[in-house]
Amino acid sequence: MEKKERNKWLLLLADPVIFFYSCSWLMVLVIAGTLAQRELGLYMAQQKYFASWFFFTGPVPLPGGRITMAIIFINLVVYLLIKSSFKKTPGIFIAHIGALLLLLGGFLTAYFSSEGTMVIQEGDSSQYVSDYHSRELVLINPSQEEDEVTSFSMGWLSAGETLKHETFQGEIKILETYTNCDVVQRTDSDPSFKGFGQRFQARELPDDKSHERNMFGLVMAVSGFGDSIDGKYLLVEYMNEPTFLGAAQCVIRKERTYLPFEIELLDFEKKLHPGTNMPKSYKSVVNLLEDGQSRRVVIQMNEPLRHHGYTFFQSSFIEGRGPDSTVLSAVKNYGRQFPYISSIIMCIGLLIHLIQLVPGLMKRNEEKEG
Amino acid sequence: MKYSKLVLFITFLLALPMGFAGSENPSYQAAAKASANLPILHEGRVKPINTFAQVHLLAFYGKRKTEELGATEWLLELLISPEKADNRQVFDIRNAAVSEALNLEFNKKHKYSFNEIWPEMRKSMDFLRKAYDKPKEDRDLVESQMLELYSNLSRYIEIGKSLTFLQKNFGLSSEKLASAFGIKAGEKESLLYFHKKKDVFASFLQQMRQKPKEELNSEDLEIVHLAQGLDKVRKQDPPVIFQVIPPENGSDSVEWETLWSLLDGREMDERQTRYVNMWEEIASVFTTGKNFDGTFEESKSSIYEGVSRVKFSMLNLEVWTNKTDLFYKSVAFYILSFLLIIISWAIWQGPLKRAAFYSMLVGLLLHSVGIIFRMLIMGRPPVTTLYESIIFVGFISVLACAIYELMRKNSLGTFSGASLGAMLHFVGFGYASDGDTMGMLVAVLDSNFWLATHVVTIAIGYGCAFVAGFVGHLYLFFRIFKPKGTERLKALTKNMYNTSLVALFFTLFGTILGGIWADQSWGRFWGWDPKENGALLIVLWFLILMHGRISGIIKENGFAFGLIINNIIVALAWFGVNLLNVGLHSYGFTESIAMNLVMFCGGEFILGLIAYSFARWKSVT
Repeated sequence: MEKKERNKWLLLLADPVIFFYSCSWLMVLVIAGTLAQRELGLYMAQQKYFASWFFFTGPVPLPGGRITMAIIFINLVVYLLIKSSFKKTPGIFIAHIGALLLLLGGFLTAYFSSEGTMVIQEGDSSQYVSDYHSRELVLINPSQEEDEVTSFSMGWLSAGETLKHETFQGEIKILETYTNCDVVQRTDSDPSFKGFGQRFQARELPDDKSHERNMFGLVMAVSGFGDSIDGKYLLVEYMNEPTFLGAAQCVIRKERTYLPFEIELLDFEKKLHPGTNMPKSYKSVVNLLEDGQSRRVVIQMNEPLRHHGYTFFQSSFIEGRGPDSTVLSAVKNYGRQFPYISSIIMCIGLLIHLIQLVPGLMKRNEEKEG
Repeated sequence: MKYSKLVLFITFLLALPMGFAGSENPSYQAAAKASANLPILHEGRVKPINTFAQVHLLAFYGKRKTEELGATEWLLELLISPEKADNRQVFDIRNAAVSEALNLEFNKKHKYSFNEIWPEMRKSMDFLRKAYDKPKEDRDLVESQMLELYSNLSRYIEIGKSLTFLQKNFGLSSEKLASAFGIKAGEKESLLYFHKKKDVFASFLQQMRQKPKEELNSEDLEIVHLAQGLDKVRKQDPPVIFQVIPPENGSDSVEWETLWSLLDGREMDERQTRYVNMWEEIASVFTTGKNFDGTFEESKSSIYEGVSRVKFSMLNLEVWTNKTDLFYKSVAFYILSFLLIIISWAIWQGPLKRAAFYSMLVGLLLHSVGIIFRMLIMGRPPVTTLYESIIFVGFISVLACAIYELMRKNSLGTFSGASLGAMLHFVGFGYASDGDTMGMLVAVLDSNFWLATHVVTIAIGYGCAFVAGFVGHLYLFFRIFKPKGTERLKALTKNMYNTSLVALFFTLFGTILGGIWADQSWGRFWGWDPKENGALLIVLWFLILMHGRISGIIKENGFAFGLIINNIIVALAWFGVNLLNVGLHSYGFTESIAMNLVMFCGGEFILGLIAYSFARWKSVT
């Protein structure tokens, strides 16, 4: 009895009706997420509709992309386990296996991939990738050998948090944080502010449509560093006035991930279609430096460099009076093989199913003519 | 069988190239024929002069030839005899408000000449300047059309200056001077002619310098006068558009030069002289009506021998394609096929059915030849631009319908194919009027492998989706008007399911290929870009329909309705994305398209809804 009961539930979970409705909802999400890009920009629309479990329309919570995908995933797994039959409809079965892999790959990408940029000027080299979206608060302690860097990811920082680390004595308390702000003349006078914050204050702005244009900022209270240093500080990105806590310089910047290798830009080359301003191709010639060895690599459109799980793409460039700079986008994605495999599997499945239909078509025709 | 012969005959007549419907002036014809296939670098591509002329005539006049002149003839006239060209009514002004603003007398054809417009245009400079300073979206219709007209006029003026050094406007009245320059007194010669006589000028100047001021006579003055006149023309802003001189063989440069740039005072080398002489000869044939030197064609091909990116076979092919307008012929056959099938249903079955099918096949043949020629000329896969995607989707739709007709022979395939082919051709013609349909591609798109796989697969998917949508229409039509033909309805049901499966296969495969391309070039498989989402919507919609059918939520009528809705989704994914103007994929958009798109989607939705409700109501009763 009990087994039957359980099967009934499982059968319900494998029902295509679930897919029908959740896929319909997914379609609504895709449409909403596409239209919202006009207002919110691509990154925020994507965060709101696709990368969320729930989102709010006014006061009403609605299921987001993650939960919809999860439901489809469960539906698919149960279907494959108990309902589908390889013998009866092999094509359909294979196609669903492919879909399962595609969803798995999507899951891996959503949780374990990271992307950022690497900007290198001709003749220079770089060893780190700057994240697109997250920022970090760093204290840089210059020393003879190598700068000592202590970093706190802005992803975690929220007002009220206290930061401590063995590399410095005192403590830093975060008072305010901004994900986008601009700097204006200070209207009130607060004697506890030191340096830049004495004259200026940050004004909160709504997040920009183009996410890379956001300027992060924070206000922090520093104590235990000594009387001359203790006080409140205002920090924003791209500040041209350095803030020092004793010997250590304090900066907000795009979060950096250091690589076990180094890339040196030898030459950046841009080609135009003759007689026009329309780009025909971009190309970066780089040296890949690792363990004292160097290797010449050409990175160009549709021909990225893959190394140590990272993939470097030619993404943009900066031209100016001095030497050109190349902008490479760097991606680390553990799920990147999945779409390749799953698409092949899905297409084989559908093809088998289609081929199975052909004899039926022919037969009907013969019957008619005969 | 005799009917099919008749069809073949009609086919033959229609397929004959119409020839250059140009002027009757033989010197115009001869010059145009000789220069139509000369290469020119324009918008990054080496193309024949004929295409260059057509693109501009299309922008100014709205058509690829005028009533009196072919495109090349018009261009030559503008280059060589601008005083005649300036009186040709080649500017199309449809909007009465614009012609009123320019104080132009109304004419029925809405066509005006340069000489009519330009003086008035110069009076409206203030208006234009203010309109230009406004942001694009704030300009009203008159303002943006005036600006467009102004930019067309400027372009016209620039082209018109390209060969002014060949115009015979300069002469000498003194017998002695004239003979020193090798002409008769009072005879007019061109700037180029005097440019070549630099040493004669030099010797005169030498003499003059040695004379004291008071001894200068009228002849000296005439020389100075002539030199000043020549300088005045020479010192104008040199036009840059007419780039007809390729870089030297083996040189690294890819830039082409204008003829004017050769007259900058440097000594012309032999190679450059040959280009100038060639144009001089064309101009003299054009103006005097004398025949070409017998060796002209030969020397023409020897001049361009070994020049990179210039192949006369391809240039000739392009001129020929321009001339024959294969897609226009192809649409004529689709329409013929459509009419024949309607007549065959209405009154006379028998042979007309077959004639309609053949007519569609001829249309399809012309259609595919047109696509293949474009591929040959550009050395690219069939789909690289929005325009090409329309043409290609049309081709796939007709092909799918033709295969279906071969299998079923119930004339529904012909009907669907002819209608879809004709409709998509007309949409394509709307896009073709934008200018050169064979433009160059930005860096990220310049990859033949991905264009050939992803884009073509997606286009095939769109084509199949439209066929499925059409079958959906047919199903509801027969459900309502011929509900007793159960055999036919059953066949149609099966067709709906199978075509949808094929369409799903191609859209899914194409979308994933697109993802893989994105992964290769931007580093992410999926970025929720509008174009990607559009393609995804089609796939999701097919999946919903199929799973709805399996779970019993959607029945035949619903499925047919769903396929009609799918037409809307395909149209939006295809064209609507460009409305959003966000994302990496938006590649071309004109305002009228938005209106057509809205009308198509609204029409389809209302039609589908009515047909569906009616069909359901019929099935219930």
